Amino acid sequence: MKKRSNAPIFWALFGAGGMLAALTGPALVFMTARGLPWRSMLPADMLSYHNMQAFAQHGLGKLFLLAIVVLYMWHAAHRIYKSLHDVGIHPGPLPKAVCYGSALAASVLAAGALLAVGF
Amino acid sequence: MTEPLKLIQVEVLRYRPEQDEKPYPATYTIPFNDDMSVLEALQYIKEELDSTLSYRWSCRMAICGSCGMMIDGVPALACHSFVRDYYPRTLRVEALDHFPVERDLVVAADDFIGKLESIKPYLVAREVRRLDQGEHLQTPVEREHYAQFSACINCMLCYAACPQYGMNHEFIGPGVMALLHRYNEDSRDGAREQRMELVNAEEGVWNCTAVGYCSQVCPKGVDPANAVNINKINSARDFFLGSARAPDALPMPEVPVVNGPGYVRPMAGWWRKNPSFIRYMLRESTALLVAIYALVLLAGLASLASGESAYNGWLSWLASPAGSALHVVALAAMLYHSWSWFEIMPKTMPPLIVRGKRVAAGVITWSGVGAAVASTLALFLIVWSLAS
Repeated sequence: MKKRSNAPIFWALFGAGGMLAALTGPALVFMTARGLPWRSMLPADMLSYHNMQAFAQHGLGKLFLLAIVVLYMWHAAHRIYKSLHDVGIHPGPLPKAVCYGSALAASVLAAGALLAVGF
Repeated sequence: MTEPLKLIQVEVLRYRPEQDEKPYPATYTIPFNDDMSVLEALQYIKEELDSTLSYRWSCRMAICGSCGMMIDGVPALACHSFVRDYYPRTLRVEALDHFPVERDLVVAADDFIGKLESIKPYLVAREVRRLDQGEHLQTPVEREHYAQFSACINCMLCYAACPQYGMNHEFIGPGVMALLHRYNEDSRDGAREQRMELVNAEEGVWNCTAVGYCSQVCPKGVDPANAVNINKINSARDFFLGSARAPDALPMPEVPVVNGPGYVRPMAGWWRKNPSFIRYMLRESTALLVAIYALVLLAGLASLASGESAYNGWLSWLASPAGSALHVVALAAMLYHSWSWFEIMPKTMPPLIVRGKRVAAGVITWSGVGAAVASTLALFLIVWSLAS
């Protein structure tokens, strides 16, 4: 009997992150582009320390920031892992550990930072 | 002939295993008229110019699936392609990609046949019925579930269109998965649980990266990419919600990998050969920018946690030339990610049926784009209301 793949876990995270990035990615990059001409169209203190601290301390803000960083990372990690095969780096324990390991590390760090920001 | 004959150059990739070390291009100049198919062009060459040319054909009407080959670099049926569409360029003809070349335009189909046999490509009766119980009735809606997938003629064009199969012959591949899906979706069939075992394996659906080119080249309007991707959802449901496998179900035979006889063409640089593949690689490379941007945000979160001066340092990096350059590239990547995500969605989600009719691919894609625009506006509204 064929071994069942554990790919559904990574594929589900890939799908969730891909959908989230498709819906929010362009807007977020637009907003954090501090050095580009359209900055004047956005509220001047939008990303100020006090505003962002308040946002990151709020439960919903925390959840949003965590979801963005974690799901973007898992989306990218899975896609990069698959693309490595396309360019000749074949699937195996090492590429898998590097790709998914980076996403896991980033997830832990993001959760830690959000805890450290306080409530 | 009533119309004047034109001449076209036909470049055929020849390979005669007993004398050629590797395939080489041979060029023939032939007369053609507007209703000449590529298959007829090959027949002209064989009858008038070089009787040693080998190719497969039978029905001449796109139903036997024998004459698949690379025509101008695209997998197509020779009988279903007109010479006139390639004039005045040279018409380039080559054996189907991703299969060993047995001779000239003939490929070794052993691997495909082995995979096809392994999935039980026939109805396995759900229940034993006696003659006096009559036919096994099926509603039009039940038939609709599998109808398009039953149009497959095993021509293997989708295999020549699938780089994942080309790079890894363990992958069950688009056409066989479309047929597996065809039987799994049939209300009269009872072997779904057994076949899911093949779907759930890495070489089942999980080698697929949704390139989508398989569905573009199908001469019968089958959407194998959709069959594979619907089964990713089926397999994930199986994985998270527990297998639906009956405990007494017989194990399926292994999906074989058969290295048929012939010359194996290298895969190196495969994605440069076709505009569809270039767009696919571009789509996949957006992931690099998504990762880098997520790491920039992560750095921002870390600086936010360590205090105001660290955070202001991060803010000023965002405004630096390097930060701006990154944002320009990331914005382009995010926009292309959004577009390509919704462009492929009609193939990656199960068919959407509204009032008995399947929602068209374009409607799904543009609804997705609409949702992205709406969520962008919503994010801006939230930012403005929070800031004021």
